[in-house]
Amino acid sequence: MSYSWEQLYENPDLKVNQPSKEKIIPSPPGFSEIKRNKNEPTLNTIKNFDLEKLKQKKAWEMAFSPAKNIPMNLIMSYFSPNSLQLIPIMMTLMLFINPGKEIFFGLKNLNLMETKSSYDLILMKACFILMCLGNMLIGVWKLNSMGLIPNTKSDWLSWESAVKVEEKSWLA
Amino acid sequence: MKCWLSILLLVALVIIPINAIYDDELFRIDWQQSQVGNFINGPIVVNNEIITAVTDSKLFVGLDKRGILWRYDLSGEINNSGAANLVNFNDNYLVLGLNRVQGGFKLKIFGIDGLLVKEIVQPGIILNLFNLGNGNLLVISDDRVIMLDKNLKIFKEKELKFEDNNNDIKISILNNEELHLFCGNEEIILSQELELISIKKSVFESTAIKQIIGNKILLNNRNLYQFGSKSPIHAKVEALIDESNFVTSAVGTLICKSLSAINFELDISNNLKYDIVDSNIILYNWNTINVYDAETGVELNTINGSIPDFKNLKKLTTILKNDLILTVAEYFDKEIKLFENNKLVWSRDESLSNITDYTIISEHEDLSVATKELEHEENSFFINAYFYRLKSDLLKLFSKQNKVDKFDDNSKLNYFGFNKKLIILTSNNKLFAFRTERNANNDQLLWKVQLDDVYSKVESSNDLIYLFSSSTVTTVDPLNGKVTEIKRFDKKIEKIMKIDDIFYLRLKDEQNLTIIDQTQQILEPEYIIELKNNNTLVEGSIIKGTEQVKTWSYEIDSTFEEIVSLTARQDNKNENIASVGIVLGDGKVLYKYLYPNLATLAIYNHKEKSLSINLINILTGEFLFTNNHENEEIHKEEFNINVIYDENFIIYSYFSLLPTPDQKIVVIDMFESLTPNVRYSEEGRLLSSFNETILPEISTKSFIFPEKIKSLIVSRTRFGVTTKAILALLYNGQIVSIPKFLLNSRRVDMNRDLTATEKQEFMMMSYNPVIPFYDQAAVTNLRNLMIIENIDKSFEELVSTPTNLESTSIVCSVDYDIYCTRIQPSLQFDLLGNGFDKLKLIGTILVLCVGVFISQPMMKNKRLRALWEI
Repeated sequence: MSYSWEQLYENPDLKVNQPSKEKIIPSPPGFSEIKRNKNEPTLNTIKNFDLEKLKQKKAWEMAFSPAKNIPMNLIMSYFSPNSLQLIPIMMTLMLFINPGKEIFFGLKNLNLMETKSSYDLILMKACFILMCLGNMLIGVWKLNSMGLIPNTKSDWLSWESAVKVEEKSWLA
Repeated sequence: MKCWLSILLLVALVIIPINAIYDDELFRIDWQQSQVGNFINGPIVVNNEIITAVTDSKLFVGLDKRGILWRYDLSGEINNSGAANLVNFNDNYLVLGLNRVQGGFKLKIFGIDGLLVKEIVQPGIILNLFNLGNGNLLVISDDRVIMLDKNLKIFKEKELKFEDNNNDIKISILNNEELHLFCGNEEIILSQELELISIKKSVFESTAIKQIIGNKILLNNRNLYQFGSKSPIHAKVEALIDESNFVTSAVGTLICKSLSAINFELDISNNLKYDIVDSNIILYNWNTINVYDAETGVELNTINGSIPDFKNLKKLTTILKNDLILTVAEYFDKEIKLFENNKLVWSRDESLSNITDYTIISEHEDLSVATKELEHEENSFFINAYFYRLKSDLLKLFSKQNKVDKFDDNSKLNYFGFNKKLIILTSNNKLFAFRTERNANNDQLLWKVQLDDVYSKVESSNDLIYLFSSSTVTTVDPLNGKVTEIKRFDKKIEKIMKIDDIFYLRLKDEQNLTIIDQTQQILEPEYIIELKNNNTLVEGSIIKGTEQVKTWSYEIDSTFEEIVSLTARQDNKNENIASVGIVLGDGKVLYKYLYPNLATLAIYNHKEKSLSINLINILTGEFLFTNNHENEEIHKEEFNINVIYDENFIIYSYFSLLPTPDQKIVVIDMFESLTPNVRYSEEGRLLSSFNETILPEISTKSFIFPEKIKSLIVSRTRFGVTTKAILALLYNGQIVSIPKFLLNSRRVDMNRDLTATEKQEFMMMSYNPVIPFYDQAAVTNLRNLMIIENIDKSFEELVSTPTNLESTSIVCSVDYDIYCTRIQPSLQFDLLGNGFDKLKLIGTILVLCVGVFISQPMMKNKRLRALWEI
């Protein structure tokens, strides 16, 4: 039995009982109907589930994105000279400025994400910061190889004073 | 407004540091004052223009109108008597006869250009040389006479014993036939073939002969003799005013003529001088020079004017060249002057060939303004301090006062502290002041004064010059050389000690010391180390007020040993130490051993020909370490042993025969510990040198230098930041600069390559025992200083004085020659190079500013349009 659209409009529950069009219109010859399991998710539910996962996947990708630069930065830093010249200095500075910028803007982007799990978000942020710090570490390593980190005794030598004694002597 | 302000700031910032000097100063920064000494043989004139002589400095010199042509050092050849005979041989050669140190005599024959042509060595003692005029040269030794032909070959020889070897033989040749030799009271007459004709007693001693002129002999007692007659006395020169007032008469006989007859005005107070050249007599009067023909007495030439300081004249030598009369005037005060027709061509003060002592005095600088500025800056916030500095610099830039004028040498020199005075005291008590910086007119002498007393020492302190004689201390103003104060003491000054710029005197038989300026006195006790008893005793003492008490002493075995050097570290308070450690390649530090109150004592053993270098504590006399050189055959007599003690290193040089005959330089670097990063000395606490001096850990290496070293010093700069250079005065007359990093005891084993870390260390290199002598190291460049060996001096020949520029140090050498220059051991890091294009830089900045000025409204316009989406 079929219902008119007015009936269906007034009583939406009737829709369930309404015989499908398929039943009304016979299938073409050779067409076998695939019976859909009722427990299977509908198109709608599939859509919803994929988006969340995708969002998470994308977010994780974003969280790990600074890591992609690490090998390249490592190679470039290794091969660039340790002398105090404009190009190595600029490159080293970039190793601090870029991760800094990334931390600032990347975290903003992660905050914009609507995720159900706040736990994941914190983890992602932590990962993101860690990766940026990894890049910065290369910068620190480069600074060290350039001798710009005062971590040796010689760096503090200027602050050390010579021996002072009370007595004064002269050659006559 | 903002834009203009930024332009102004930029231009100001660029201009301010450009007040500098440029680096193209080769041959413009150094000067040399060359000496020859006073003539003892000669002067002999060759070719009517070259004045040659042997001087009291044992030099054979050639001079002309331009100055010194050549100087030959004869000190290594000539024996102690120093006497030499010089003769002009046919205007082609100069023959120099000298008695050798090794025995026998030598004839050194030079061309008239000063080049050595031939040397002839013969046994015996040379007494005289005589150019016979016929192309032959007569050489008279104590046991024979030799004749040399014009080809410089001995072709005749005759044994002839002279009883009186007083080296005063006078010779005359008569009528080209007879040779008359006056020796003592004998007159020996020889033929041209050197055959003895006769020997007779002379009526006068040969020492009494003043001059032989042709066939006439003028004696010191004004008697005049003539050869060829039985009674040789022809006339007696009357003592009118001076012995030299004579001219020849028309008949050719030398007679005395009254001065009125010659018809010139005579100032009775002045003496007359004469000289005889060929057949001319040149008569020097107080207001004219007259040239007479010796045979005819005819006046040939008269020149107005006279030789100045006539009274002080010792000797006159004349050169007649066409119409020119060149006169070499030697004065009693060791001045030599050359006049051309009575006009001064050059003047040399040969007092400087005997220097007693010297000192360097800096021009007084008023630093009160700078100190005030620094105090203000230190007490303000850093931005305020920056703007204060900027403001004061801009004011200085645009104000006429204080402005450094690039074209005014003096202002520039004062600004950089280059203007120092080299004060020299000579043995004839003259005091000279030279500017150390080369003057554009090459006029280095600022002033000179003749002193009244016999001084033995000159020192400078508090912008004053102090002169010390046996019982007086004279203060001299360095600006003009005027004596400002004389302090006389009743007792003899035995010792002068300069302590903290205060002079302490030890007077004979006085218990306490005397301070020159009583207002100055050091209250704290001062410790003294000194050499006593002819350098056989080292004594330590303490001075409290004016009382000196002996604390310790060390005596050497004076039969074999000799103290060759006692050197204390100059920087007692460790004020000029730029860095307390040496930075290794891996950033670790080797701490320098910088304990003050230490000295090095070098003891030489004549018997074993060994040397020991000791480091001693001045306060206690404790020996901290000893470095012995035994079995090396060290030769101290011929070549100096020099010791330097500076910062944390001791460098000494000596010449030894074993293992190879070489000039050696040994470097001892002292560290608190040879383990990196280990420091034993405490910081920030005043230690005592009595019981808190630790022993140093030592690293040492020896090097070979290709030249023999006479004197050795370390370069001194204002803050000690500049790399140190070791300056050596060589026996070959050069000064060389050897960087300290070459003389590094930590240079790595030559058999292996440097590790990566070692390569990182400043100027670390493999050890090579030979220090190369490269051209760039020669501070003197193309100049050559005269080094006369075996002259005992009480002062160090080399001195280095800091300037206001950290990079630059003034170096002076006061040996026989005086030489000053400036050095930059780490190059001119605080001076702009000549290639610095100030105009281009300012131009670029201005162009950029104009670009900004033009593009700014365009950019604003564009932004506005973008907002309106036009």
